[in-house]
Amino acid sequence: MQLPDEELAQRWKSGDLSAFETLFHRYERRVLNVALRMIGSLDDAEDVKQETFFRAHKSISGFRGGKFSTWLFKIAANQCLDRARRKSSKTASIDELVEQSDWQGMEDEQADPVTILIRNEFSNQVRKVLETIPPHYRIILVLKHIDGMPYEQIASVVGCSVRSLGVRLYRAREIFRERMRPFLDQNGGITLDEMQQRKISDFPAL
Amino acid sequence: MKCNSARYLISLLSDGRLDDGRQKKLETHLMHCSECRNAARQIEELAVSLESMEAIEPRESGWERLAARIQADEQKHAHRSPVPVFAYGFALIIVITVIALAVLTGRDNKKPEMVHQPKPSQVQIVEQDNKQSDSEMQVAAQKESKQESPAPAPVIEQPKMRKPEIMPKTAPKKHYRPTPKPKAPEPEPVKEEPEPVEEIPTVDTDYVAQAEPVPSQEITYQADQLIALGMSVLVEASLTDDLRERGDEL
Repeated sequence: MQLPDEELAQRWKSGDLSAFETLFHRYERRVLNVALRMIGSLDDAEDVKQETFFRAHKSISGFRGGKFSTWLFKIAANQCLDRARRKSSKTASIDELVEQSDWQGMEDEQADPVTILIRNEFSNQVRKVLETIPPHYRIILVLKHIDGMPYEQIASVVGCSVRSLGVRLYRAREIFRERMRPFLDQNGGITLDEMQQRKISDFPAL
Repeated sequence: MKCNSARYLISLLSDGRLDDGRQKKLETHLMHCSECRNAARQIEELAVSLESMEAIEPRESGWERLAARIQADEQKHAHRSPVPVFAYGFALIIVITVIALAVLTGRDNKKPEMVHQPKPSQVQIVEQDNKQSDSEMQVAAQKESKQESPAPAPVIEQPKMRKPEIMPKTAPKKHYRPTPKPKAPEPEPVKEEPEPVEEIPTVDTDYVAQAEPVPSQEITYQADQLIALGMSVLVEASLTDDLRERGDEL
């Protein structure tokens, strides 16, 4: 039977490193993916993940109960914001995308190559635009849509009220939508969903 | 309903956080606003596009790297002794003590200032005002000093301790007159640059140091030594800390 996070955190606080290891393996994937979508570089995301858990270990004595994942993601979000603010809005290169795809082995062998191409191109655009959004808006979009975190927990992580989070999400989405507009116009004004569904033969440019 | 308000409600609707009342108002707005309908569709599509981004699997060596880093950090802190903290505290106590001593001795030093010690030139001004009587008394004083003591040094220092404010211009006090002149050439520059007595500053620490050389200098010197000692302890503590940190880094 899997022990709850909070109990493992208490054991970790008492000096049990195996409890820490369990929590690390339980959360490293989520932290890594949030960091990757916040920063854009896989190496930087790995660094952020390491720094997040290292700092968590240094400050576990200050963990006073409550939801462990909220406490951990507060540290992760701060690390992501610091790194994203320091980093210029560097756009991901195609080479980096290809390297990332090779590394993660994300291609579905049964998928149509055209579908893979469209999906990668579309993901590339979404990712490029996401990296241009101001970090304090980007973090809530990433937590909401990439991590799938509940509304109340996002509000706790970023330190605002639920009502304020609704306004921030609205603004973040407006910025995202506005910046995706040129990409949509270049493809004949089709919607993203339509683009995902269409085959390569429907795109004259490809 | 304005379009901005409608788009805020659309955002809430996409998160499933819109109540029935506001949803009906939004639907009414969307019925006759094509731009907001398009915005609603795009917001939903963007959400889907973000959620459909592929997740990355972490590297397998993540925990080993982290555990090694934690172990190195703990070893680093285990080597560090708490001595610098005490050293800083000790140095702080010394500095506070020294400052307190300096303040107290400073009060003692300032007592002679209350007597309004004059500058040598100011003494000479008064002497100039009373030139005639002074010259007579100088001759007498020089004769007395030669008879009493052949050493000129203490006699030269004596006039500097006199107070000009106590002696008004028009009526110099008699007890000041017998003050012997230290040297013959000194009165000459006073004649060239006479200064009004009213402009004499009441406090002059430099002159006070000259006026009572032996006791005040000793006290000031001791205070300076104590301050220097406190500062050297502080510097030594910080240097020790720096060296320790560098040693740890190496």
